[in-house]
Amino acid sequence: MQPENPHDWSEAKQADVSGFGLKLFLAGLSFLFAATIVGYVVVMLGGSDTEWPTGGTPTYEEAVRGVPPGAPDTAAATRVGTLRQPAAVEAVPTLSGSVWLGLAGATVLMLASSVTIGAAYRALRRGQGKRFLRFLIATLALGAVFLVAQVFNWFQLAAELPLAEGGLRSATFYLMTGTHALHVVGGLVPLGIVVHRAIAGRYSVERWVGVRNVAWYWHFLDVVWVLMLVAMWAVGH
Amino acid sequence: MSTTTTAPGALTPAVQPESDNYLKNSSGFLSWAMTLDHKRIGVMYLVAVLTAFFLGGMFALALRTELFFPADSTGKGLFLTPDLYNQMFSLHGAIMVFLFIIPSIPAALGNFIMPVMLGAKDVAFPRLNLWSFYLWCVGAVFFLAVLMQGGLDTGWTFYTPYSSTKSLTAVVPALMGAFILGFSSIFTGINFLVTLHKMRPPGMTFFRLPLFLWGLYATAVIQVLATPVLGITLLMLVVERSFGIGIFDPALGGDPVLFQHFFWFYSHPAVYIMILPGMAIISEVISTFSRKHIFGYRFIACSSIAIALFGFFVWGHHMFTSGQSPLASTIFSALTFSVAVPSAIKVFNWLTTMYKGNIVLGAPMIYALGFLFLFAIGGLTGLFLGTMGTDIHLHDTYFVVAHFHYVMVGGTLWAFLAGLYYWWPKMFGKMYAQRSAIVGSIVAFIGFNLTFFPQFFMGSQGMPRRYFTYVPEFQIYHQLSTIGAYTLLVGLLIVAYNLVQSLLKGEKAPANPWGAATLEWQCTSPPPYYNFKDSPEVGDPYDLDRVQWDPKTKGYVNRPDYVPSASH
Repeated sequence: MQPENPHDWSEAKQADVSGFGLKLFLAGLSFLFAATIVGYVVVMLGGSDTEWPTGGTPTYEEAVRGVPPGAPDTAAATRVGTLRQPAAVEAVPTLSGSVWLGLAGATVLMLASSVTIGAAYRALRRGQGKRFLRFLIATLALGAVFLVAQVFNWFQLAAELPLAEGGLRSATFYLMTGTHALHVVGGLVPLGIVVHRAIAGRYSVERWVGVRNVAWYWHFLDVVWVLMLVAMWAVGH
Repeated sequence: MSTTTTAPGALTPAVQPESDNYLKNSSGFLSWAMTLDHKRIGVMYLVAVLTAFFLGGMFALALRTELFFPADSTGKGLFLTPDLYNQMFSLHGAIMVFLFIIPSIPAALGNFIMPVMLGAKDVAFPRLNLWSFYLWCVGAVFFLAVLMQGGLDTGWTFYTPYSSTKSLTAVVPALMGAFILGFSSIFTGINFLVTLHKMRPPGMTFFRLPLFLWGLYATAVIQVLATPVLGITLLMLVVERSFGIGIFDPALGGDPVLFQHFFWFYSHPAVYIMILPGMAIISEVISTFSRKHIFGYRFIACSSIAIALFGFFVWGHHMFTSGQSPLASTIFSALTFSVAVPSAIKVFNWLTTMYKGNIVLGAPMIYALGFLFLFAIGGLTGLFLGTMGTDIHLHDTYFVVAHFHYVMVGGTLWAFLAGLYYWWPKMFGKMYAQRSAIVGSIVAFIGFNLTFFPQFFMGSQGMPRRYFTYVPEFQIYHQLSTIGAYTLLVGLLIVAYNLVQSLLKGEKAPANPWGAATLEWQCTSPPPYYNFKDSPEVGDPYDLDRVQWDPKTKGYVNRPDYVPSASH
């Protein structure tokens, strides 16, 4: 077999290198979330309605000879793509009071989990083992409850505006919040591993990089959620 | 080689026992499959991407063969049906872009050379590096699944609503494949950036990094920042196709232009993922084979970063005919031209490096000269396409096909081969026959130009891309193009023969066969497992005065009386 990993790093070097890698990873993710948020805002502001006015791909005849304004759509049956459904354009999903309430609840959970993981990390660095473990497990629980709350919010919204009627505006809302939720799931996995290791006593005043990295990721999810909330507040009513 | 004559303090290739190289230090399948050694991972990537290149090339030959004659009066083709033709060009594009060009230089050559060139023992995250490779393999398996399930006919661009509702082919596996390959690319990018920031040996400041590393740095920035957007876009398309949720399909209230925005936000910067590492190889080769310090080091280094940054703001030039507002198109057009500036800075610096140099026409240099010629044509024809008025005429014609093949093949593939021939002795410890290497390069060069130059003519005369057949006026161009494609094949077969011969019968390579001053030539060929026992001494990477020819080893050795000059 091969010799071991060539890097035999101190905890400080490990923190430096893995921390930089994580920051780059978060930079990449921030482009991902920026894309979903910008997509949501642009669609909600209705910019896209004016950019796809023809409805479906024009036929060869239409493309070459043009269509007089107001002419009936005689080629509808053979058209690739269909005329945009007017109903879909007009259905602007407004976030009702009860959905806002649900979102507010989710926000409280998210903010609280960010506070608890920060507290857990600080406790670890100060050598308060019990307090560290308590706050770490609290974070895991808050993260899980956040996901439950989000699923509840989606059902609430779907009940008010069925998915099929919501069209693009509704889809971008699910897309944006769903992407965030997926990354919360993706955060719960390493967080679970860290909890497992913490129970096994693998962290101490000298060994803390794993906890710090998970904490950074978690704070990032928190910031993204707040930005999404701002976007919803700005254009989602 | 002799180390007894060197003065104290001079750089000496570390003398290693014969068996201590990365190829021989352990054996067996698992020692490769589970390796954390960046060099072995690089070699595995090399085999993998060359396999993908072969597959994509076969599809291209099938296309060119079919187009030798137009379809007959009943609409029957030479040997393909129109549907099969659509699948061939889609798979050709998707496999070449996602499985070959994007990983070719960074993942295969970069993985092998980057840490050695930097003077480090490995990349920052060796395990993540192996993960990247296996993700590539999983992505490739998805593309094989596409082949099994009867192909893909959306083009490599997956434009909606055709891809989301109309296409009856295996779109979802192809999307998942590209999605997974994206992760592979992101992880490679993160790994390289962290390595370049955190693992530089003492003395290796940013402005002492060889230009290949600057190119990889700029590439990695794009890989990390742009690829996630492709990921979410492809995932949205999977969701729309699988569950009928309207994001891009106008029939469901979606917006197909939104797909194009998202797709090109990644895929235009991805063009620079393809070309930046290629340009970076050319910088190395031209300096070494002109026996001259690179001209304008800082300009070349910074222009890589500039291209990477500008690349994020020009995606709209793919959408001049997509119903984008004229204002947006104007801005995108203007920004597109700005990319020409850093590209031209590089080209002029290469030319100036060659000026009054002692040019050695070794195989890597022949490829580098080919690159200069082909990339100049590819780059300049891009300006016609960045101009809104001419683009309306040229959009979706063979002019576009010819343009991007001049950049992707004439640029990236030529640079890849230049790099492969440049570092081949280092990677495998064997020299190759210069004569057949150069003949292969020249035959491929002629074949390439014969394939794609006629396509500029037929494109500007209106021949649309992706068509199964054509009107008789275009026949002569198509036939020249097909003959060229087979000539290119012959050239590449000579290359393959040459490299296989080198592995079987090649002479043992010296540590520094070309007389370059970058650090990868300071260790033996092939490098020992940990590259360097101690961090090597770092100097100006292009000060070629530090080495001199040694007839005994048939390579260059460090000059014993070398004193670093302060002028560079």
